[in-house]
Amino acid sequence: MSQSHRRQHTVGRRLGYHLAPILAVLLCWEVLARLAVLNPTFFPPPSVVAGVTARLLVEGPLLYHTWVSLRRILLAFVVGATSGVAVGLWMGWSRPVRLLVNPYVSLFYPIPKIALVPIMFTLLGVTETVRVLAMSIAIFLLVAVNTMGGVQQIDDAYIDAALDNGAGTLALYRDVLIPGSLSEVFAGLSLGLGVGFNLIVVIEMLAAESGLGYLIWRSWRLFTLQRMYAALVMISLLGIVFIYGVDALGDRLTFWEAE
Amino acid sequence: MDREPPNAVTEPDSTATATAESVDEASATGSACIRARGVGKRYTTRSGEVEALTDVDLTIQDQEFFCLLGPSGCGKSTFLRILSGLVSEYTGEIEISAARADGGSVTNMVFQEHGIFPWKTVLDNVAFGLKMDGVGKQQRYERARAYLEKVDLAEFADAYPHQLSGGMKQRVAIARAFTNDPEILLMDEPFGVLDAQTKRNLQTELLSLWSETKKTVVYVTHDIEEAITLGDRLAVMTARPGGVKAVLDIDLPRPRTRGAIPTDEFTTLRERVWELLSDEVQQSVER
Repeated sequence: MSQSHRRQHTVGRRLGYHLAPILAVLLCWEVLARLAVLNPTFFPPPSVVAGVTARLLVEGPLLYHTWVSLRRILLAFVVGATSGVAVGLWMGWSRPVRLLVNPYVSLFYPIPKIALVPIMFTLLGVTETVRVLAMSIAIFLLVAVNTMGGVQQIDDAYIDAALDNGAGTLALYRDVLIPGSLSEVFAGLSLGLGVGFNLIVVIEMLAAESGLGYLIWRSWRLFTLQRMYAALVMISLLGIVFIYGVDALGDRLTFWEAE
Repeated sequence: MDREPPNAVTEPDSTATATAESVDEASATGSACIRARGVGKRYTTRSGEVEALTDVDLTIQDQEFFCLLGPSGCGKSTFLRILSGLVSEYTGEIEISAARADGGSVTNMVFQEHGIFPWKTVLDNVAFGLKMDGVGKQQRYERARAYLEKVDLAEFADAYPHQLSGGMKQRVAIARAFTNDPEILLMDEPFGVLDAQTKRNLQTELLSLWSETKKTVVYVTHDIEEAITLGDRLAVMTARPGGVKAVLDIDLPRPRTRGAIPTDEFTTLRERVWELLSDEVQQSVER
């Protein structure tokens, strides 16, 4: 009881430490924009941006574009994460599979995925599928590479203990390889989401008629900068929720590594 | 993966072929449980071939507590892994004549470290082997709880290993091995990283579990006093490539609780074993 109370207390405190510097910057911005030290046309004060964001969410197109981006991110995440974990586990455990698949992964891993997008458009057309696919490939690669590494760093004693107790292949994956590599899997998911967010915004700027990236780009072209900031706020919120959410979930699921 | 121990012989007729010599060295029941003949093992590493074991001849009796003592890197763990079936390629012959009517595993290992899973509760760790054998949840938890009780960890059933001390973790590992109820327990320096006091307590607990269940135990250690305290017999191994240098009877009365071991005999044995071992330790240090 008293322990959980203390925990809440520290969580609140930590949140305060994280938020205070951000609030300080926003406050400076607000004051400087109000005093017209910063040109409010280019840098509308945060209070104005917040108001515009709220208004556009209710009556403007912001909610629609946020939903479109969110759907792309979710689809790409599901496809990239599941395939990445599956292939990564397999590569980590089986040496032949690793030798066979790793050259491809190693080849694509360092290539900026955005550079491949035009080829994909050429081959498959400028379609929704390709937009999602491009992002899921980025997530897939990071998750697969991290998962493979996670399986390989599992202490041999755990695997020996499982085999010695009669574990078959299925039990080995379920009871040892997956839990043993879980923290690296989540590190990969978090990295993959970071790259994926970059990618989806750029793709939406260049080759889409919807989504927050599209809205940012078009607002800039039309010089409706308040609208641009509103879209920026939304994509930032999505990024924060997804990336820190995945991190937090990972920490929770691998509680034994915290000590 | 095939996890049956090598050449498990299920008929009792292996007793009939036991040599006179092995009857002489009998302790508990006089029938051979494990017989190794000319067992060798080579590893290929990046720097070339390493001969880990060479020409190991050993007969371990049924229900015997057998200690394997040797300098570090002498291949004693490798021998244990061959017995467990974790290492399946070796030269020579191993016969294990322990029948299991219920089809369960004949051997079970206790590892020095990292043998229990940090992502499972104490109870799930202890019940893991039974789960792998397809024993139902209720039944396997019941058996696991019974052994947790015996190692004084009943109240930690729902804890996770990171909440336990090193000694408690090894008690979990031992509870799992006994819960699995194998014919032969293979123990690979299970108390090697523990402090002296904890080690002492766990040795006593292990001996009492062993005398209750009368399992055959093959216990690997590099600690002379531990081998003498625990074993019915001990084998001194040579430096790499490991072979058997000598097998000694330890004729000390049981139960070997603290203070009950005659000091003079203990010291004499320790000096004798140390003499046998010191050349080998010297060799393994010089390498």
